[in-house]
Amino acid sequence: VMDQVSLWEVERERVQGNAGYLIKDFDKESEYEQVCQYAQDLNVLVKKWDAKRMLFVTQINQVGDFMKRLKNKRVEKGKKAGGVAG
Amino acid sequence: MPRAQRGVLVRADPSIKAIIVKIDAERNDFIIEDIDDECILVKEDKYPELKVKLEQKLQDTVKKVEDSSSE
Repeated sequence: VMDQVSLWEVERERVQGNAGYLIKDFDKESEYEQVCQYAQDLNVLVKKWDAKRMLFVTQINQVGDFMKRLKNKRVEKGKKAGGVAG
Repeated sequence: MPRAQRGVLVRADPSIKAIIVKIDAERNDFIIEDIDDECILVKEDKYPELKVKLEQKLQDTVKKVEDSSSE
C-alpha cells in the first residue's frame, strides 16, 4: 500500500503549471520557426509542438511585436511584388 | 494569422492528464485546448479549482487502493 501511495505522491508532484500564452494558427512554417527562435532567444519559450505549429511562452509583449514586424515585412514584400507585376 | 491565447499550460503524466480531462468532462469548464498526451491549456482563473479537484480525485484513488487491499 505504501508503495502505491508514494507512487501517487510522486505523480502529483509531477503536475506542472505555467501561466502564459499559447500561440497557434501559423500560416507559414518559416514564420512559426522564426517566432520559436525569437522566443527561445528571449528565454520565454516553455514548450513547442512542431507538428501542430504551436508554442507556449511566458511573456507575449516582445514576441507579439516581433510577429507584427514579421507581418509588416510580408505586407511590404507583397506590395513590392504587386507593384512590379502591375 | 497566428493568435495568442492566455492560460495555464499544465504538463503531467498521461495518466494524470487523463484524470484532468475526466474532471473537465463533468462540467466542461477548465480546458481551453487539449494539446497532446501530456499537455493541456487551462483557463487561468480556473486553475486553482482544478488543482483542488485533481487532489481530491487522487486521494479517492489512494483510498480505494487502501480499502481494497485491507480486505
